[in-house]
Amino acid sequence: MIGFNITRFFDTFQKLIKYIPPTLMILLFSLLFAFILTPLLVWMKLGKNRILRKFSNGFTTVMRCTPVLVMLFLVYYGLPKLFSVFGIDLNKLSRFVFVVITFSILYAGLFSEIARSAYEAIPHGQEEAALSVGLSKFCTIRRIIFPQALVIAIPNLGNAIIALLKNSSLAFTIGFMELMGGTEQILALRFGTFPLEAYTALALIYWGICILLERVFKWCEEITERKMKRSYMS
Amino acid sequence: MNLQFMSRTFIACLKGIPTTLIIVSLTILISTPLAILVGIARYKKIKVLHQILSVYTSFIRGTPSILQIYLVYNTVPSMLAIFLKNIGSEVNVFDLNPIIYALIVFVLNITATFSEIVRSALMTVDKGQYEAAQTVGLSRLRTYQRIIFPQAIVSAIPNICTLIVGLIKMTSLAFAMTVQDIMAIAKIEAGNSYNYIEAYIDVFIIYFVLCILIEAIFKRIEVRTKRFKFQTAT
Repeated sequence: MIGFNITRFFDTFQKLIKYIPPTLMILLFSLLFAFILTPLLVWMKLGKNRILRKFSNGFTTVMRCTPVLVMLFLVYYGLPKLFSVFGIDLNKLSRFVFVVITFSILYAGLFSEIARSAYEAIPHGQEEAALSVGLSKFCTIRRIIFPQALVIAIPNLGNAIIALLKNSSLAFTIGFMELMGGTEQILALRFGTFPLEAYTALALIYWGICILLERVFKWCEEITERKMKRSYMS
Repeated sequence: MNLQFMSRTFIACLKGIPTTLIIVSLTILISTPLAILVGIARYKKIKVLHQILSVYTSFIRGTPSILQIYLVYNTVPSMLAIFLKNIGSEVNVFDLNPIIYALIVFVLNITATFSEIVRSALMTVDKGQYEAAQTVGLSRLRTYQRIIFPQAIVSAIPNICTLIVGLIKMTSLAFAMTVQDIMAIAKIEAGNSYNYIEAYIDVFIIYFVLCILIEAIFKRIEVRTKRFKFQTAT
């Protein structure tokens, strides 16, 4: 029982490779929708309207305080029930949609906080200077604020994205077939034998993807820092 | 919405809070000294140990916690059974409280994350502080105890708060190890009566309140420890 069966390990590893795309799809689509929601939340947070500000701050707090699993179940069981009140049937919807909705709202809350703190780290004079030389408000944000905020936000953003990848493994609890679900299925097909080999293979896959992502963000950090330095020099 | 069921389940779920809090407090209690040791070992870059520990932290941070739970829960009990048999113990492994396995996973997990916090906190303390303490004749232990740690703690506190909130959220996965915590009770109640959404709203409320409380406590600690903050002479 304690021995490690190498052939089983490689066998599982090979079978698991076809489950990598679904995991990456969750990551990609969740990020896409989270990035659409984030500017809206940041705008509310920095705006003058008190109610909107309270709402977006509350949204972040709620998203930060809810376990992923609970949010996943709430969305999966709650949304169809909510929509059935209006006579819309969501039960036929793919589970992928629910997973993406969950992670989008969870991470939009987080990203908006990262973006806000990055924005506040930029000296106020930058914005004033840009406005005084006659840039429009939108142009100031796009050309002056955003590039600087991005440099500050990248490390936190990277951590959050890696956390999102790891949390996507919970999607199997509502029956979506990604890496974790795939492993469970492979295990079930061979009646739960050799769990150590299967989970080690899965761990190595996740570890590999995480290290890869970490490298990418390190690289992004270096590039943006170099660019910033160059623009300061000239 | 079945409000009667909701309030009944809420009270049932409250019984799970002690379990969650026991897991959280024991995990913090065990992993704090471990994390400080690991953090210092990595901060000082002790040969060989540094490499081993960085692989360990990288692995823990690169794999989902649900996977770590399955990995431990599927292998440790059988190993323990063989070990106990070999030393001639009469204890039946399967009678043991599953909290033990939960503790193993969470301690391993939190130690890795916590050690990173310790390491980064130690790095924020100015090197001159250490040198100055040495020149006035403090021993190495005293230097750490009186000079380095009080300053490092200040910068670590927000991170520790995030860590504990993360741990509380992570305990919601302990149901995978048959630990009877908040999530497990809600899941059983929900499964019995098909009132999923009501049960999960209860869990959502409980976790939300728990996390808000932790954040409020840490806000107060943060204000109190501000006085240790190193002031740069201007």
